[in-house]
Amino acid sequence: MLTPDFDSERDDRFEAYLKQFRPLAIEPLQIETSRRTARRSFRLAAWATAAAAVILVALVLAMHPRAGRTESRVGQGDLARGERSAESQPLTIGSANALLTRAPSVKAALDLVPFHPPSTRLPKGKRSALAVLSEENDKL
Amino acid sequence: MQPPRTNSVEVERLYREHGAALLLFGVAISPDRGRAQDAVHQVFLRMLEHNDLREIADVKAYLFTSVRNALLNDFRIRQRNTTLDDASAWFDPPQRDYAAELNMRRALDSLPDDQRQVLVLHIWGELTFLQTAEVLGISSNTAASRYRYALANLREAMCVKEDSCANSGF
Repeated sequence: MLTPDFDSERDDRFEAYLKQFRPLAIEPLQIETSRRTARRSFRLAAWATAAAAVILVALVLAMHPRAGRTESRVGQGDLARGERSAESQPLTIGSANALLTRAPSVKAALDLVPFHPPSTRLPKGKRSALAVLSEENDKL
Repeated sequence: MQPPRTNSVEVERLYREHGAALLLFGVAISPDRGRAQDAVHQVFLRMLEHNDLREIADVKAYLFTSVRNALLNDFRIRQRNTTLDDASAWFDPPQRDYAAELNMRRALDSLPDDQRQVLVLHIWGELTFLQTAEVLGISSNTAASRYRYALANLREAMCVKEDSCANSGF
């Protein structure tokens, strides 16, 4: 292997010659373009997320009555038992949810909801706000 | 808590000041100019989004290191199997001597990768041997030694192909 000939003066001259060659300029940095691209991809991602959420909700809604129907076919007795117990208990969110899962459709579930008349008795001479409002409605 | 944002004016100044040398260094690693330019842009855009320049001890060395890492992350470039594109210039030559530019490019391309990188960093990047060593992950003595060999080899490659070397005094 040949050993390179090192001569510092000659190296300096050669370095000076090399430095006369200027590196070509780089293209301007496209900051705006990249920001716009980032914004566009964010918007796209937001739309995709929204679309996925809508599809998910639609799927859940489509599956829900079917699941209820399947269950009702399997356990008609359970539903009747649930109906009886619902009648004996006050309406709560939990019991409404339970009814919705058991009933074959939303309409059927609403039919099973026990709407009890108000149990509180008003003192003599007093009227409920609902009664007063219903009279106002008649006047209109 | 969000990291403090880098001052975009400062980043633009760094880009104007070092962009061309960083691109040349990128081309010294990967002869694909488009890929090298993408790497430089990637480094600056990342810097705009995430970095706080105050945390960087030597910004210049950091920039060259980042460009090198960005390019070396692509395993295809590590092989350096791309041939030199004669039509794509690297330099703006003195007296518009495009034959000399092509000669220089070919001579640079003929150097071993490590020598070419040291040469570009020291001559056109204007990095000290200490900074060059930091960028390449070698000792400063190795950087200096590689540089001397690179200079001698480049001169030889250029002068073999160009008669004008005889009159230039080097």
